[in-house]
Amino acid sequence: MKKCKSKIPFFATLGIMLLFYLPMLVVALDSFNPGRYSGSGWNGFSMRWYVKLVQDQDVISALMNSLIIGLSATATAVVLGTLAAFAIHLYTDRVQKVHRLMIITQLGIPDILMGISLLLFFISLKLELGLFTIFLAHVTFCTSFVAMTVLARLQDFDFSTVEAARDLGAGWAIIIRRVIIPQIAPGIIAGALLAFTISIDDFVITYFVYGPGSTTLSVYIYSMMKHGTPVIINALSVILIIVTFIMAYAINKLMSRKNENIV
Amino acid sequence: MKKLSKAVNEMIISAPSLLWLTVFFLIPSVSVLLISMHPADQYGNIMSGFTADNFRRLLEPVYMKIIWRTLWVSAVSTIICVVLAIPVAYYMIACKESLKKCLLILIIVPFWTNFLIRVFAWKAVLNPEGPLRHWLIQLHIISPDTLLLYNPYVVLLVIVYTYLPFAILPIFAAADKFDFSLMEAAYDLGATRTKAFFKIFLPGISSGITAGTLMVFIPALGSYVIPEMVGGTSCDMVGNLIAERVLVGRNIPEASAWASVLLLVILGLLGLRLTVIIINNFRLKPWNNEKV
Amino acid sequence: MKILFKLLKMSLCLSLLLTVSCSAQKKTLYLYNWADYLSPQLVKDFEEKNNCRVVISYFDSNESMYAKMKAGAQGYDLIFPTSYIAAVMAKQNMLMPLDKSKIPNVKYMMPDILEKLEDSKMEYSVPYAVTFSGIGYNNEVVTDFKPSWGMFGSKKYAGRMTMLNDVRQTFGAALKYLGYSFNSTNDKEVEAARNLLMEWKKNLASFTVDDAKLGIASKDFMVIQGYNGDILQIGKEKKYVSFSVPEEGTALAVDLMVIPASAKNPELAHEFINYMQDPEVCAQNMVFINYLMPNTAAAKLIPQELKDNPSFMMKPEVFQKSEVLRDLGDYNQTYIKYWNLIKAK
Repeated sequence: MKKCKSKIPFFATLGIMLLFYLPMLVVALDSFNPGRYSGSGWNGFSMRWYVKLVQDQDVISALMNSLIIGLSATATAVVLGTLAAFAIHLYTDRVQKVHRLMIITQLGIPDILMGISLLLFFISLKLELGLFTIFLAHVTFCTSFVAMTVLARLQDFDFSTVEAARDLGAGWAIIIRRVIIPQIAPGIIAGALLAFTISIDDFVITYFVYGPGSTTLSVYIYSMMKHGTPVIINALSVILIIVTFIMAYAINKLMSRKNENIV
Repeated sequence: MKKLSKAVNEMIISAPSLLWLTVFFLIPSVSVLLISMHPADQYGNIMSGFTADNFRRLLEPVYMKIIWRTLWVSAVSTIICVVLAIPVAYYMIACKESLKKCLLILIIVPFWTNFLIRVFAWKAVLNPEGPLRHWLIQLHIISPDTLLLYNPYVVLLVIVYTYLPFAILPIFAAADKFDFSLMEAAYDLGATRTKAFFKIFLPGISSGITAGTLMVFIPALGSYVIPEMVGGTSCDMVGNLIAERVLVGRNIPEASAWASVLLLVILGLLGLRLTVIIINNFRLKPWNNEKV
Repeated sequence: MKILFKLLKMSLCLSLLLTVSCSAQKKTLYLYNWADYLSPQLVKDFEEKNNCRVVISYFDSNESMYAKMKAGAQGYDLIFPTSYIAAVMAKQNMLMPLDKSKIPNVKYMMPDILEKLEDSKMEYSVPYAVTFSGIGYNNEVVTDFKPSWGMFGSKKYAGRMTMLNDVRQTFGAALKYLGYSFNSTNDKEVEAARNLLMEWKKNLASFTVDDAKLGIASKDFMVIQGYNGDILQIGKEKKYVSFSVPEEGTALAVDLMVIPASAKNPELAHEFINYMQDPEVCAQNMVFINYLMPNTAAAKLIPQELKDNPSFMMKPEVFQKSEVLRDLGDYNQTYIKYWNLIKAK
């Protein structure tokens, strides 16, 4: 393979890694600092904020809401997205071109536009804002992510295996279960994990369509930043970062099983 | 008969997602456009009747400043992201497989960490009473009066920080597929490293660069949380306007007008990219044939 | 495909189960309130007494609360708006009329506060607390403090000051400094206030309500525009934070308890209103939030030092110069237009 002769790329990468992780390091350090406000200096190592975090009823209920929505939205998005990926991959007529366009456009739209359009839509339908509206919103953007991930996997899918199974007399049910799914399973699972992570993380869209009692983790973090003990967020951040590391590792493993293609 | 069942099959498979996206994406987007054409009363009700007032109001000089700020902050942060992403991608593809995967995870993790937390982390680092600012003052890099937060440059920094992975990943993906023998060929023909870099490598990964540019520029245009959290009083961008009009200012039609304009700009950009891809496909085809 | 459907069914069942089980539990009262404005201990006591759960959501300005309600947020049972916006909400039929038979404790309401309000007969609201805005400052650093709204014009603390994220409060401060009325509807006066605010804005870090509280406690900010009780609360913990009412006068606001028309638990909401007006509970709450609650019986039960604190109960001279915040009807549009201008620049 080629060798890097200039030192610039190396330093650029190093610099960027530092840039990425410096704030997180500060947050991690702060999470063990028992002082209540950021400017009070180092007061010694303490797990105080982690303890407070698990005791906080509001955090627990926000986490529950995020999980409920994450799981249900991901499940629905997996079904819709996988079907969409198949449709786009198998058929190439105009309908599918439009279909693909819709998915790509949906991915490209900034959150705030999604948020306001869904809010206005729900208002005009007189739908009560709450867990259900958040669910609807999340499925919408998660589907696109799943579709693109599975689509990427489908590009490398070998249809001759399906032909072979057909020749051997297998019915569609068996073909789907035993031939297609196992081969694209990594893509589906990766898409599901991706969708779940995006759903848990989402703030702007959720902030527009949530209602009383349906606060999710992100919305709660935002309101904590504005009115509560923001220091607890440090502890929460550290936990979330660790979970993210695990997710990223898992997805990477799954996606690079067949080829060296990542993401 | 076979053709009919094929069409039916296609419908069954594509219907769920197509329907969902139509109902929850297409229709709401259209309703934003529609609502922007209605007037609002001072109590926040959307009235009937059509008016172009909301759009006319967007052209007021005061808003020009916000539009300009949105454009330059998004453009500059995009340029910085792309310029930083290219050497990083270059370094990564030259690495061993294991290191490459490791670096990829290291880049993806911040990308997937809760976005609010990342903004919050920067607030912690740049805190007026924090160590960083004290050091910078002691080293005489900044005067004791400057605050690190609440100005447009911090907004720029945090936007770059937030969207840099969006630039790195597509550029890396394109660089990964790039055929380095072309570079070798160029060196053999006597080109300097710099010349080969600019004339062969960059055009070769142009699809990645375009993707990365769009993936930073478009979300940056719509950013609202970042200017709100670290921007202070004079850094409002279009996203803030939309959020404020909807969540505070009781003027949903005006918010929709802003949203419609933003939407059209973004659709325009995406459409442009599509055209570029189509043109590129035409250009590459004869070129590939030559190579074979 | 089958597996996918199985997964889907499972997840949907799971989520349905969870939501159903959650709601099958005790009744829940949803409050929509300002932050740090209700004693958590009293909330817990209420939950125990009535075997229910209380969930509180927060807003930081009347405008954002109103916008959220207008946008169709249903499910709140009790809201704590300021009187002038409650009047607007009542006109828009967003509120439920109160059933006086369920709230006997309102007999303790202070009549002289009641008569200043639009809803003096308590048809849709019950007064909760009296608030007034002023200046919070760091008494160690800001040694040259003057009790005047003009502090926001001082370049010395540029970037370390904030004002409230509220169009009426910010304009009011500027109007008062120029010698005009907080409720001015005079074009010239309001324009002058706007220009003054533009000048002051150059010295501000941001327009914020809750961030300011955190900021002054953490020494990020030196001078903030804030509400009296909020800053008193902080001052109890952090001795370097003081509150002062500017000598030009300020605005008095009365926050009310109202039940939105879309409330799911109006009986429980009435219960809560009655609970808050119980003299003992009321007094305990006052000590926590540091705001005056206009309950005659409770006023007798609060410690004397609190009663004597000018940041709690306004001194008569300042009271003379201050006004009650009123809704300005159509003129609101002008204020909002100028406010947008200021926030845009």
